[in-house]
Amino acid sequence: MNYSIETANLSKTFTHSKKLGWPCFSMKKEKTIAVNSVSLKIQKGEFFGLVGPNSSGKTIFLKLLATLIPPTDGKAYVNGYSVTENTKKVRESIGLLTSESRSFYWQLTGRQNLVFFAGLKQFSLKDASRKIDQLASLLEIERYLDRRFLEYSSGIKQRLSIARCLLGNPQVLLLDEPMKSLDTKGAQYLRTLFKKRLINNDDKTILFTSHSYQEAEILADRLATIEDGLITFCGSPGDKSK
Amino acid sequence: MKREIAAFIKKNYLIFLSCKFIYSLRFFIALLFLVCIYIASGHFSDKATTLYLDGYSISYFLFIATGIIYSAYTLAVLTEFSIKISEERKAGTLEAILVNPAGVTKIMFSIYVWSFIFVFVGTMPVLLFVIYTLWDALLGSDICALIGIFLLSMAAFTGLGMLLASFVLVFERGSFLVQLVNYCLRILGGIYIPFSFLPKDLRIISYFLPSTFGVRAFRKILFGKSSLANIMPEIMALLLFSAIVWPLAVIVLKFTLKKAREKGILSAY
Repeated sequence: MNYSIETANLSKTFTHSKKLGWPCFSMKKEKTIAVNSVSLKIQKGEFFGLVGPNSSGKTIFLKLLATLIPPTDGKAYVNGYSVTENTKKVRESIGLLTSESRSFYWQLTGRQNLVFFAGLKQFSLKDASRKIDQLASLLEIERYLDRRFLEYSSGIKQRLSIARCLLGNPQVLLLDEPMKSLDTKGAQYLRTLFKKRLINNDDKTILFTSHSYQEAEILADRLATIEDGLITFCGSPGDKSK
Repeated sequence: MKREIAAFIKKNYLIFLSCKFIYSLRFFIALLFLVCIYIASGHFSDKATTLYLDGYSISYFLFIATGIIYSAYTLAVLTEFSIKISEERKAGTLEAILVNPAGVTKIMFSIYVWSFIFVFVGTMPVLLFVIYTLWDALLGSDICALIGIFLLSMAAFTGLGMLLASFVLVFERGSFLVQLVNYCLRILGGIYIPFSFLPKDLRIISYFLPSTFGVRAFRKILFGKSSLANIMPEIMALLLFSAIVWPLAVIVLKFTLKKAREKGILSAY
């Protein structure tokens, strides 16, 4: 079976130092298990949802796959490449949408921001402009592209983040709460975009996170629920209700 | 590599254009500082010109002017480099940059190139003014020796810059440390205050600072008309400093970046 994303007992533990305070100056180490032995297999062209409440480990799981955070234990492969050994190949294969709207330069326009990130992906200026125009048209943000990022509404910021995510034409999309900050019409548009264009036409693999089971149920071919870093369910949306 | 560097230069230039007023203010403050020194130096001309400034009978203004021209290309680049990394982290863009295939080395180098260009272009009017005042001293000086000292100093300061950048990556207030080192180098490193004027205990610290040797060699060439052969002790000191700091900086930077990734704090501030 050709898997786009494959994890085996993937774990991440954070160690925090806690000051004990005067007169004791030593530090107490505390451990937090963010992702606990997660084993998932996501097929090529699949639309997979990861659902869980806040602080359940969804974002950390995506960051592990995006090579931004190294795992404490276990293995993970994206597009067949190990996230610990082939980081460059993994980064070439993915597009990451973070739920952080801070990850753009507020003083620059949307276009200037995208040109910068396209440069980091080895685009020439000409190719970058062409690609940005295509993506702006796809995401219906043409008229906002030459406005400064700080003037954008939350919804437009989210769409610009998706445009950045699609810049390098990645095979695997890791989307952290893609529907966040979107109104009903915007969310509906993106659902259609993800399903019909990116999955059916372009054969991309999408792993997205959400804290809403209902939302994930509508979108995903398969989904998993995560709580305190542990996968509690994995299957088709209908299976859970059974 | 070219495209990453070009992307960083263009992006930072556009940010610079959007904050023209702030940068103009910085330039104005630097110029004001220079003018104040010039006026003060004139007021104390009788005493200042006869002061024996680290072996040369020059005015305090000429002393500090050489310090400024030296520090602009070494110290300012170092500070700007670390501040730029700190800014990327603060803005939350560092993580978005690092998720791209371009490796950390390329990204760091691109930030460094921008820092150099920014300092070079930004301080150009001040430097032209300083060169004008130092014109007589420049005539007849060994220009090759001057360039050599600059390159060696740049190498030493780049190593130090990488070391400081490591702290900026892991500590939330790492830029405070950068400013502290910056002031130490300016005050104790022979840029603003002659080494011979420093209290004896503080001179011990000066021996561990690259600017002490770099700026001293710079003044030796300008005012003592020394050649490369005459500044060998300073060259050796700068080489030794680079030989120690560079490997240390590479190890520390790799370690701190690994730690920052492990802790997931690259975008946290």
